[in-house]
Amino acid sequence: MADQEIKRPVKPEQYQPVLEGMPEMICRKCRLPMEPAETYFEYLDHGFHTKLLRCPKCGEVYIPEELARGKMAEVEQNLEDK
Amino acid sequence: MMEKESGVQETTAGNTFSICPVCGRRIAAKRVQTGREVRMRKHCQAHGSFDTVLWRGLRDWQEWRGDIEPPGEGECLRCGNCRGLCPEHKRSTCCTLLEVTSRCNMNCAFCFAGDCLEPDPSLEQVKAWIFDLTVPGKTFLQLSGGEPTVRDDLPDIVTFAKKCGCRYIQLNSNGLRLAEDEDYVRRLAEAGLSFVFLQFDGITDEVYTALRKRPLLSVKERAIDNCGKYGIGVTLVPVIVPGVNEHQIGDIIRYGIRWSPVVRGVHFQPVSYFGRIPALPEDQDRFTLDELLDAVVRQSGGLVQENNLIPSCCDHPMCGFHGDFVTLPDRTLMALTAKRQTCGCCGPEEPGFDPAEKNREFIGRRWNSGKEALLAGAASRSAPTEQDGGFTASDEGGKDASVKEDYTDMDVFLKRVREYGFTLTSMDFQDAGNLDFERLRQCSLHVYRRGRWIPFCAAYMTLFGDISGCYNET
Repeated sequence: MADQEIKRPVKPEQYQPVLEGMPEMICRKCRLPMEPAETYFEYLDHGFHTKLLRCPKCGEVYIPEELARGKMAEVEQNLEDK
Repeated sequence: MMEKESGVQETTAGNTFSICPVCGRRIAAKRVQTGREVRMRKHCQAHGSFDTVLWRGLRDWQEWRGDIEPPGEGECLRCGNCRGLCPEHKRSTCCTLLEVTSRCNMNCAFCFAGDCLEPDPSLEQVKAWIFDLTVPGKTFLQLSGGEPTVRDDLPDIVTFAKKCGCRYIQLNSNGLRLAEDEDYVRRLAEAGLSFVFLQFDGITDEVYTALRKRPLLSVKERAIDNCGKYGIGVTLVPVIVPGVNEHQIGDIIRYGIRWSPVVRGVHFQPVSYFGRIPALPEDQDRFTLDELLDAVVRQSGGLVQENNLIPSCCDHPMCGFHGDFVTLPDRTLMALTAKRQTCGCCGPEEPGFDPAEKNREFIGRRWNSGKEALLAGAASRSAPTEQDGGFTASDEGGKDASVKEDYTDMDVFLKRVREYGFTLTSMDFQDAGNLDFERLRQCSLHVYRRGRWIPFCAAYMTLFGDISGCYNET
């Protein structure tokens, strides 16, 4: 546990464009290159969309860690944080 | 269970402790429900029985407050006469209120601070208090009084508080000096003031004449405008008094929206009877929490829905509500809060969970964020006029309000929330007539006095025989 990195939220000023400069990603299941696609999701009755890499065959999306700890975490915090 | 003459059954809605409003002794109190109305009844052997309304029945009492363990015999024996938080107190400090003066440049009909006039503490004394009370990186400091802006050295106090590590610094003000002395506002902003809690009772001068003894609307507007120029967010704070301004609740909300993002929200305070008040309260002089909830929804004209206003998980549910919103270019609100069957935030508390800390971060972030948009927006705002229902604060620097932005786009949503957050909150202070130890032991707004933290309603409690008198710490 001592060596485990503590995952802290990313601050808005540290956000990076999600797809910019990202290496090609291959879908683990279909072995196909993932493609940028508008992706929709819901959280606490609010719907959002953003561009993510998605497998053209199975539809699986790749959520980069910086997105999960950055914008997505901020959206969650704004909807929960009461 | 008893039956009243009308045939409506009376049930006990909980036992608690209160004080005798005459002598201040702790006495047992009972909440009694008749139909949907809830009252507090208590009896002092020396001074007789007291009966006051707590809840009119416009919302379901039990659904709002939930299940709360009642205070037990032997617990909080001195709660009503608190001289400092005890180990049994159920909340840590969310906000620390510090009185930097007892002087004031007004003489309002209602004032929780009463008529106590003492010499100002020296700047060195205030600094020593701030040094003592600050937990670097955490403390949410409210500078209060009296009227803090009567002190010329207030910017120095803010500078010192910032240097000590106060996370948020709030100024509680009537706005007179903020309206008249723009350079003073600039100095406060440069010193690091986070936001202003502005006494703002209504949108007509009749309201101010009744409560503050002089017309003040134009003064309030200049104060808001000056704060906006220097990036200081403003929360409007109306004291709601039945028969005076309860009909303007919706107008105050709309006024705040038109001044967004300078105005960050409205914080309602139904009148409480302590400090300086014109007369002791009868039932009709009280504005209960459910009346306020009902009025906000009804008078908002569809801007606010019933489930957007929820009890805080920080203080006791009967101490107030909060609703979190974003103002939109067409001057409507997008609600971020919604009461759910399974709440996203108030689930089982994890070990170490501190509701006061969570609340402090929430309100601090909401009222403090978006300074860039605030500065840009304020520059393009014109003073409200008679047109457009009395207000013509601009639509965000000339942006066409009819152009709809896509708030399902995560980037657009987050930008809007950061810049145009808007809260509707309330704090229902308690007085000697309706004090409930169950609520007091859960208070997270604490007044700092000479090294001790005292729950707000205990700090300002005024026995009815001493009303209009001076609170003297003994």
